[in-house]
Amino acid sequence: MPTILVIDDDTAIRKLLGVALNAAGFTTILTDKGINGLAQAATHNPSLILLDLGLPDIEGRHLLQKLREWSNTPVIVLSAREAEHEKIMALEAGADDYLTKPFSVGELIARIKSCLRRVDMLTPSSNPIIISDNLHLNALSHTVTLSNIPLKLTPKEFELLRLLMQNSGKVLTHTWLLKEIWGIVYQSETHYLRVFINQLRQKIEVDPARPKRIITETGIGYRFMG
Amino acid sequence: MLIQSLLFVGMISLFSYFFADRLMSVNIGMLHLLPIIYAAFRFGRRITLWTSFASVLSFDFFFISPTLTFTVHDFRYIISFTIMIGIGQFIAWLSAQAALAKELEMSKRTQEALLGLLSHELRTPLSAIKGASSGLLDEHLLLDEASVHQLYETIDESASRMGQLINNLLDSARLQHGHFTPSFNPSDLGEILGSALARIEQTAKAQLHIATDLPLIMADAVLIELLLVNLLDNAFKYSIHVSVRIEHHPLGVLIEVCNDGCIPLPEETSRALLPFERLSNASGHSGVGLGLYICHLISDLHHGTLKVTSNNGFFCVQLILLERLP
Repeated sequence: MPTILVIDDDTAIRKLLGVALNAAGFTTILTDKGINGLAQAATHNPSLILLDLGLPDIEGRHLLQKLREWSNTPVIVLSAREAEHEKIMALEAGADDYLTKPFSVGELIARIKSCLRRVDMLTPSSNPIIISDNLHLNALSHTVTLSNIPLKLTPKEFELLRLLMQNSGKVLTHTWLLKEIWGIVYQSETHYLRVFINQLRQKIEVDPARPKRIITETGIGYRFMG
Repeated sequence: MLIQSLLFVGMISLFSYFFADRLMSVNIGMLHLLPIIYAAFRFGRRITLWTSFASVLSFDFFFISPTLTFTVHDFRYIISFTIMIGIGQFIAWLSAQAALAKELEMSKRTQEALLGLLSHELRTPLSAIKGASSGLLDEHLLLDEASVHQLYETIDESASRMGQLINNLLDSARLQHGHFTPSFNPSDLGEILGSALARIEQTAKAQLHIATDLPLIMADAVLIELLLVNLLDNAFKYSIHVSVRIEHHPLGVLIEVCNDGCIPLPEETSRALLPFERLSNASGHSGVGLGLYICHLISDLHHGTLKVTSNNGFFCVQLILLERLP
């Protein structure tokens, strides 16, 4: 049974998360302080950490940086709605996903499961073929098929789709994607990304105006829904 | 503003110059007071001060002998000049006071309206939540499964309603007080619409007409999404027939969201963008009238144009966003 470490200073939220996660079949460790949280993470080695970004004793970003020095445990951060820069900072400091408060329990459980699934799949030398429904991507032969019909993708489009599919369910920030595909110099050229995402959507989405595969996280980045 | 006042001074001097032989220097002095008063009424104390200097110097230069010099033959003119400048400052101060009083009155009225709405709109869902949760906790109540479910549903719905209201209040406060810097980036409106739709569309779907090859516009994508969510939310609140059009516009891109419910009276369209204003036939739907106001604030931040129209039984909100910011 996976163990989840919850770091949140609000008693009501902690109680709620404890009940909800136990009911969903997880074991929980609850703590209200960031420093305790780090210690708990070291002693109990949880499968996943839920981290509130508004902790009084330590800034979420610093906690993440400290944690990432020795641990790869996936982290989902909880944050206020309008704090886009906070979310981006957390993602760049090593968080795997974020949830905006107030969230529904169903959404939270779904995100946790998708995060744990992704970690399971992340074994080195993993399968070069990534499958999402009727969309197949072969990283070795550089081919993509949709319902067994080959798609014509430019090298950059292919690279973008590969990154998105390999990190299925995870939010990839604009900066990270740009750096991976175009290199460090182009980190702020988000319009490059817009154009390529748009082209990809035309090719793989049923209704490109209402994308179901490449989801926009406005102001932050993109998420592939497998 | 300063240029406008200085032009006025010039005009007065020119006029006085042509009719100098029929006017006494007192008349000309009085005439030169006019631009000062005009500036004092309209533009505040600093511009009034500059206008006063210009007017006094022009008066002195052209009309006080020796003319075409800044010297005065009679020291008493200096007193006149001082009085002219003083009057300007005094009137500017008075009109600033008047504007302040008017603003206070406005904010008092907004506050009252806000308090009334808040107490109603926040208390109603809170009462529902409290009622339902206390009912669920009461050991003496024998509730069947269906009623328990209903009580849970009430809590969930009321919490969403309160959440929406609180979000709107915080958004408008955040946008209104200007201590907020948008981050402008080249943005794809079609893409932003897509994620706004994902948040709003549940049972009914909007009809989309999106032009191809739309230019990227300089915008804060998060704010524009908030704007579109508000427009769509409004539209779906009153009707299931909603259409969205995005097309090219000489200045950038035009977005139009229309529905066929809740048609405003013609005299109401101009008030629709003000805070806490609700259309006369919106009663029965919850809300405090902040949605379109938030859209208006966001559009202003982008130097855009937001217009509310109603024709042929359709209620439309039109937004023009610039391709490049000025």
